[in-house]
Parts: sequence; structure tokens; C-alpha cells
Amino acid sequence: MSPLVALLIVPITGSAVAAIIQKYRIAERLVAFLTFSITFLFLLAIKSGDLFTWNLGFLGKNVEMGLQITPLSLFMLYITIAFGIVLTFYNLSEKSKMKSFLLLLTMAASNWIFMSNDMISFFFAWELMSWTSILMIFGGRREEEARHGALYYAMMSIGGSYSMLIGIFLLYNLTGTFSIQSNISYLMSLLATNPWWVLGIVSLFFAAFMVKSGIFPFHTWVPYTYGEAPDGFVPYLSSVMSKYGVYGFLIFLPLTLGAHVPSVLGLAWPNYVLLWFGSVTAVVGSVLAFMQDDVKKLFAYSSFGNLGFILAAIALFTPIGLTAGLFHAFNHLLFNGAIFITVIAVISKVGTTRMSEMGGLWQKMPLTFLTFFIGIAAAAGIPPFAGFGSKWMIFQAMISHGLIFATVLLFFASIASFLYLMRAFHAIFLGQLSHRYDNVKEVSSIGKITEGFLLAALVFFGIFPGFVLDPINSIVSSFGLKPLPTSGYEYINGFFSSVNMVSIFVVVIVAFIFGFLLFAVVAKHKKVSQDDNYTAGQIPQDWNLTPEMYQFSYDFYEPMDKEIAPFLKVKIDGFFKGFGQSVDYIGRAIKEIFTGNVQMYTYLTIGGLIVFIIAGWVVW
Amino acid sequence: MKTYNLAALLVGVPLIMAFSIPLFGFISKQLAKWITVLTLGFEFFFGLYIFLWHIYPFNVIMGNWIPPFGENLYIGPFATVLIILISFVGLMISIYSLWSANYGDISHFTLLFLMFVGGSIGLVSTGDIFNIFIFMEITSISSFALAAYGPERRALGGAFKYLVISSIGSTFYLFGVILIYTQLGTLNIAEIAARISQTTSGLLTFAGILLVAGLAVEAELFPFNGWVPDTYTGAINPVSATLSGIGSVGGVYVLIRIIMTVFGKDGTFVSTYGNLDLMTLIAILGTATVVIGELAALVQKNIKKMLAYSSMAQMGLVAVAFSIGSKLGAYAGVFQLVNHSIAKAMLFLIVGVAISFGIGEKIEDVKGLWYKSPFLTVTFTIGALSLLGLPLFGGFWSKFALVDASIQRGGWYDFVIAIVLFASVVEAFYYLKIVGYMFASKPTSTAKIKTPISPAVPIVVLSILIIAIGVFPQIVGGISWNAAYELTNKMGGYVLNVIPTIIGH
Repeated sequence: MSPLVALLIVPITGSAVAAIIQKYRIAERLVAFLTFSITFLFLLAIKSGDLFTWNLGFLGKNVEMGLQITPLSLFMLYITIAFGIVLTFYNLSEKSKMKSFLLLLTMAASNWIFMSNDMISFFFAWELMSWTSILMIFGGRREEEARHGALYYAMMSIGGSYSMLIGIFLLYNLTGTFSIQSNISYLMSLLATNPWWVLGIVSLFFAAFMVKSGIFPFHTWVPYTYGEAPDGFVPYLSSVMSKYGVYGFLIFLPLTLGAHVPSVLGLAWPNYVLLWFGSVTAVVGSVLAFMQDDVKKLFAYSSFGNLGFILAAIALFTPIGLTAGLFHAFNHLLFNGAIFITVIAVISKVGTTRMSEMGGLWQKMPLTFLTFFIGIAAAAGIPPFAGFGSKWMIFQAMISHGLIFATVLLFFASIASFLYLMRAFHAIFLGQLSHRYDNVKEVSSIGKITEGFLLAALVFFGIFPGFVLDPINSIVSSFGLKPLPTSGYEYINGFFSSVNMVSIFVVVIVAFIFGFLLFAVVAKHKKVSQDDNYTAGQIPQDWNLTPEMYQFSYDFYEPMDKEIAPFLKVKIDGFFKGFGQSVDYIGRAIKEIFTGNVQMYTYLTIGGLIVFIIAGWVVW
Repeated sequence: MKTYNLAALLVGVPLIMAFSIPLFGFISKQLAKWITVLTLGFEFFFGLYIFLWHIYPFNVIMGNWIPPFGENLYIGPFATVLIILISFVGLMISIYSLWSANYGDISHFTLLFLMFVGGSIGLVSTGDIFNIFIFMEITSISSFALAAYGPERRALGGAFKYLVISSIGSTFYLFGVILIYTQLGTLNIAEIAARISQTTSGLLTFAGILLVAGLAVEAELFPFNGWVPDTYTGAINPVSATLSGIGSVGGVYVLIRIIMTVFGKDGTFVSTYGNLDLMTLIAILGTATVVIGELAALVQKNIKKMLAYSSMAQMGLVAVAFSIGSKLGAYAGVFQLVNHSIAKAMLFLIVGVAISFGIGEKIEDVKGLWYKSPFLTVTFTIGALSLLGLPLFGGFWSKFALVDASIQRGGWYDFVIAIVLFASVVEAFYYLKIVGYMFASKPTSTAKIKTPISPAVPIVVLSILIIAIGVFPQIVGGISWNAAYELTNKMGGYVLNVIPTIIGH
């Protein structure tokens, strides 16, 4: 058996086993963990260029289906399966309604997406991934909201898939083959004569990818879905599943449109538009994130905001842009995974997702606090953690193209991300501890191991980015671009300069120690309990104040929220919702045709015949 | 011309058994049920034998009167796949009925049921346009009585509506047949198909319209489908499954046979001898049915009614697929017909089990079914996802083929498929909503449901079949392709197999 097939068979078998024993939570989670680990072992046997084909009797002929490994798919497989191992290990001690057999089916679909060499299996895997994740989200903590989130996601996702389906068949009817490679090269040859036609087909695909990655204007489902998905599944959803869109974009981006359509600043305008979609996504995600009080929603916005960064970078399709985008994809997977895993650890302990009800938890959960802290430091792009290098490279890539406005937008998004990360950090872990949480304990030892591992990974890949940049360079060269120069594992080579992460690490550590010394020596501390309040002698109840309201992160950015509020009146979300409502309304109107009255049906039948006869008479 | 007269048993046995059921009923009421199972088992394995040993296509010649002079059965690939489908779904429903049908005199139910299935098998295999009418009446009359069967008063209302509309449809059909007969003097499908261009084109257009209007009643196409929601909702669940899984198959079969074989033109997408393209007519009807069915299903609060509207919409989808007129379109249509029939029959059976265990018919009532019966929830999900055309389940391939066929045809079919896909998104919404209710909501009561073995067997078999088709589309794909050939090459695929000496005009 080819190891490529094993990457599909093993998860599906594991899924069947997990489905049978789904009543026993520990056992099914163990199966999930083992399956991810075994799949990873098979992955080690796979190298770039591996190929596996078979024939499927469909559409009245033998359609050749294939699996193929490119450097990009190998990279994606490694990072997603490795993250899956970490997550399933953490989930051993996690108690939400996440069903492992669905997760394993999603993993099979995920592997298949990255390996598929023909559009049938790509679409098959894409839809498989859609429905398994939709079913998973139904199991969220809050029943009504979870159903709403899942259905919202389902509508967007299936709509996107159908758009892709039409694209697939438009291509198939032009080329007569489902092979992705041949279709891409056909599109390349079509570019010179019909660039607009190519653009039309590619946009049909891009709609599906934009939905899946939550790119503006299809980002609206993300907060509802991430916010309500079962806790054990959210990290997978945001870290792994958002990358399918990135992978999809990278299938089509090698189409060099530059020579055939008008260009802006040396960039073909479709790429330019895509870049702007990315930048706007980054801004929208970041700005909306800092207004959230629900911690899962906050990081949902943050998650697709980061996807905006990635899209903006890869849309350039220059060596540095591509490297930066892929590097950020990896870092996003890592820090977002760390953040979400610590967040769900906190949620599982305190039983709420509202940040204004948390606070002071660092005393109770120090390791979780530390991992979260490093995670948000990485997300904010603070050196020397993972996340710094990629953001730094993204800005270089943008500036090297002279894209000043987009760079400013991304900078703005980056600063806004400081704001929301700060808010989450403060609200969850700092400040006063509510008495409700006096009995909260640190996560179990499984959780501690996971968090320690993620912490180490965030620091390690921050200091030695070369371990990620090497495979990325081979991806870049597989796209026919010249990779960035490499000089040792601790260096990041940008467009303008290069950075030695180890020396930065040393500087940061020294500065940290110095600051800590100052903190220890100079400041006088006094612990203030939450009841020791600052209401100046008034009785809080008289003013309708609840403990949540004098949690200091309540309405954290109230002035800023007020400033931004007018801009938020235009709601994309509202558009989709209104559309749904009008469909519902039309449905109610149509239902009235079927009155249940047999006379009415007879009129309809006879009337239909009369219309036909008139039509026949007219054309005859 | 190949003949294989033994296959007359396919039509004969169920009818004979049906009429002798009262005799068996004297011995034991339970025996009547088992007779049904055995008869349909025989039908199924006979059909499978014809399929696996590649005996088709062949004729059954009655009394050595060679067609077009005598009446014949023609069993080509299309008839074979439908015979297997009808007898298989019938077999499953009869196994289910061992447990479920317990109202009044059970031999009435089994008699009517066997008559219905036998009539449907006759319908898809006959080679005579007037015999189609006879078999249609057999199935219709038995299904009126079936629809009225059961303890509920609303069943009578539903059956009455069905009766009225169906009679109007039969009349239309009969008028159409008469018009053709006055022109050509023959009732044999093959001869009519070969000589269709010898008729007056205006009269033929009129005949075509009458035939389409009459058959659209059984094929559940708007605006001739008013009976569907009330009849499906009123009938007991095995009957709803029968109407949806078998009745609509027969209806669509006749419609397609008339449009594509009798009125069709080889090598073109159209089927017209006047100026009215009947294929266009079907496409418009089909698209309207899909949209209206899905949108009406979206706002339903009763789960059986929702399934009924969804059934209507799926038949529209099948009609759209056939109306494309290409081989690929016919392939998609046959494939979709098979998938829909299996999945929708299964859904009705599952809902039947749930209802008989005290779960209401409202959509909210299935909340938390997962905690009461994981078995019913998982199988319902499989059926629903197959109808939505999601992978690992049969429906994926047929929807895939349908989109392929539409895009290949191009032109205004791009719009048709866009509308159909939009309606599919609506469909996804209401099915996934139910699935969400089942999986995620807390149940109102904690009473467990233990599905008895007799309804569990058909549900398991059907869901395994759905997954099998989803993983190996070749199971249905191969014969669907042959059926598509039969439909799109009327001379080579049909006429010359029945009357080898005839010359097409």
C-alpha cells in the first residue's frame, strides 16, 4: 500500500473505530490521538514527487484520479498533522462535545485536499471537509447559537463549493480532463488570448477559497462559527481549516496574469485586488476583534484578520511575498493554536466565554497564563517569538513593491491587534480574581504538557526560523521563483536586511531580566481584592452595578468603540442575513400555493395545461 | 431481436400473488406479509439476475405476436435498473411493514402494496403506450387506497386529493394517446417512435402537451403536483416511502420514455416535431419544481410535509437532468433517480419509526434524537446528506454529473443550473437544521428508542447501499450509462431492439 493511500485509509479507519466507541469519551479521544500519530508516521515515508493514481468508473468512462505530493502539499501535511497530534493530545483531557470520528474524517479530507491531483477528488475532499466540520459545530456549548453558527457556515461554505463546482466543469469542458496540472497549464496557454475568461473561471474558485479562509467580504460567518464550535474543535478550525483557502489560492496564483492584463505598481490588477481584499480583511478582523467581549469571538476575528495578512503577502507572488505568506501561515497555525488551546483551557475551568466575567486568573493557572502570554506576543509580532519574522517579512514584501497604502493599512491592523490582544490578556489573566474562581485549578498534566510544548515551539521557531524557512524555500523554488538566500537556522533574510534571531533573543531576555529586577526592587505591591472597590463610598447596588461591571475590562475600549460605531452601520453580515430572510419570506409566499384545497389544485392542473396549449399554439 | 419470455413473470408474479393474498389471509394474517416479502425478493433477485448476467436488452413476446402487432415487454438497461430499484425499495418497505402495518385487516394493505409494486414494474417494462395507461391506472388506484389506509382521518383527505388530480392527469394522458393513435394507427412505442415524423405536426404538438401534462402529475412536476404534500403527510409512513421511492420513479420513467424515446430526435438535444420543444418544457417545469419545492420545504414545520416537498423538488432535479438531452444528462438523471429513491424512502421509514415511538411530527420534536436513538439519527443524517449531494454518499456523484451535463450543454442551462444549485443551498439549510436538532439539542424526555429488528434491517441495508454508491459510483454508474445510451439513441437503443426491421422516418 502506498503511504499516500495510508494517509487517507488510516484516518478513515480510525474514524470508524472512534464512531463505534464514541460513547466512551476517553477511548475515542485516544483513538483520535493514536490515529493522528500513526498518520504522521506514514507521512514520514512520503517525499516530494510521490504519485499514486487509480481509475474511477464515472461519467461513463474511466476517470483518472490521482494523489500527488508537491513541496507545498508536503509542508501543509506536516504542519496540519503535527498540529492535529498536539490538539488531540490536549483533547484527551477535554470535555466538550467534540466527536473524534468527525475530526478524523475531517483529517482524511484535509490530507486529501493537500494531496489531490485531480479536481474530482479535490472537490470530493473539500465537500467532505465541509460537512464533517458543519456537523461538528452543532455540538457547541450553547445549543441555539451553535446551530445558528453551523448553519451560517454551512450556507456560505456550500454556496462557495457550488461556485467552485461550476468552475471545475467550465474547465473540464474546455480541457476534457480533471487533472489540476493540465488544467492550470491550459489556463496558462489561454492567458495570452483570453485573460478575462481565465479570470472569470479562477474567480469562481477563489470565491470558495475566500469563504473557507474567511476573507472579506465572506468573513461574516467566522465569529459565529468559531465562537460557538465545541471547545475541542475550535483550534483545529482556526489553525488548520483556514489554511485550505491559502492552499487553494496557491494552486491558481502561479498563473502569471501580469503580462496580459493591466497592472498597478508592477502588479497585475487581479493580484492587486486580491492584495486589497487581504488588507481589508486584516483591518476588518482586527478592528472588530477589539470590540468583542466574548473571548472565542475575539480570537475568531483575530484569526481571519491574520488570514488577511497571509493573503496580502501571497497575492504579491514574489519570492519574499510568498515566503512571508507561508511563514505567516505556519506561525498563525502555531500561535493561534496556542492561544485557542489556552483559551479553551480557561473556558473549561471558568465555564464562561465572557471576558468581563474573568480576571486575575494568572494566579490560578500560571502555565496557561505563560503560554497565552507568549502566544499573544507572537501574534502581536513581538520578537523573538514566532510571528515576528513573518510580519516583518510581510511589511518588507509590501514596501519593496511600493505598496504604501496597503502597508499602512496592514500596520494599522497590526496595531489594532495589539489593542485586542492586550484586552484579552488583561481581562482574562490580570486584574482582580473574582471569588467565584477561588477553586479554579491549573489544567491537568496532559494540558500542562501540551501547553509546555506549544510554549517551547513558539520560542524555538521564533529563534530558529530557518527550520521552517528551509522547506518554504523549496516551495518557492517549486513555483519557479528564486528563493531568498539562507544563512543558518537563526537568520531571517528579508528583502532589505537580515536578522539574527538569537541575538534578538539575548537582548530581549536581558531587557526582561532588567525590567523584572526593577519591578521587584522598586515597586511596592498591595493585593486588592475585587470587593475592595473604588466606588467612593456608594453602594454599588444602588447604581445597578454588578461585579462584572466593575471588572476593569468591562467596556474596555468604550471611547474607541464609540468612535468606530458609525463605520459599523454598514454590515456585510446584515446583507447575508437579509438575503436569508427574503428567501424565507419567498418560501412562505410559495407555501401558499399549496393550500390543501383540492379545487385549487385542480385549477392549477387545468391552468397548467391551458398555459401549455397556448404556448404550443403560439410557437406552432 | 432477443426474446426472453420467462421475464413475463416479473409482471405476472406480483399481480397473481396480490390477488391470491386474500386466500393466504384465510390461513394467517401474518402469512400475507411474508408472501409480500418473498414475492418482492423474487422480483429483486430476478432483476439482479437480468442485470448481472447481462441478459438485457430483450423482449417478452406475448403469444408469439411479434411487435408491433402484439403486445410486448421491452426490458432494456433503463427498465432493468428501474426494475431492480423498484423491487429493491419495495422489498425493503415490505420488510419494514412486517412490523409497522398493523391497522385493520392487514391483507388489504399487502394486497394493495403488491399490486402497486407489480403495476410499477409493468409500467417500466411495457412496450405499449396504452398498456402504460393500464399499468398507470393499476398503480394509481392501488395507491389511492394505500394512501387512505391507516387510522388517521387526514389520510382520507390526502388520498382524495391524489385521486382527483391523478384522474385528471390520466385523462390528459389518454387523450394524448388517442391523438397519436388516430394519426399512426399503432400503440407500440417502438413503431410510434420510428414513425413519429409522419404525423401532422400541430396535432403532435398538442398530443405532446397532453402527454406531458398528464404524466407530470405522477412525476410530481409543478403545477401538477398539488396532491403531493397532503397525500404524503396523510399516508402512513411505509406508504409515503412507497409513493416517494416507487411511485415517482414510475411517473418519471413514463415521462422520460415518452419525451426522449417517442418524441426524441437522435443526436440532438431537442425533442420536437412541431415547433414546441418538449425538452424545454420539461426543463422549465423541472426548474420551477425545484425552486418551488425547496422554498416551500424551507418553511415547513411538519417533518413529513417537509420530506414531501423535498421529494417534489428532487423529482424536479431529475426532470432537469433528463431535459438536458445529452447522454450525460440522461446519465445524471438515472443516477439521481436511483439515489433519490433510496434515500427518500429511507428517510420516510426512519421518520416512521421515530413517530411510532412517540416522537411528534413537528420538526422541533426530533430535538435530541441522538440521545434517544443514535441509530436513527445517524441513518437519517446519511440519507439527508445523500440528498444534499455531499461526498461519501451516493447523491454526490449524481449531483456532480448533473452539473457536468448542464455546463457541457451550456447556453441557458448555465442559468438553469445556477438556479438549481441555489435551490440546493436552500435544501441544505433545512436538512442540516434537522440534523442539528437531532445531534445537538437536549431531548425533552430521556426515553430511549430501541428500534425493532424488522424496521432496522431495511434502514441499515439502505444506508449501507447509500455509502456503497458513494464510495463506488460504478455500482449504479455502469448501467446508468447504458440507460443513457438507450434514451439518447432511440433507434439504436430502443426501436431496433424491438422491431429490427423497421426503418426510421
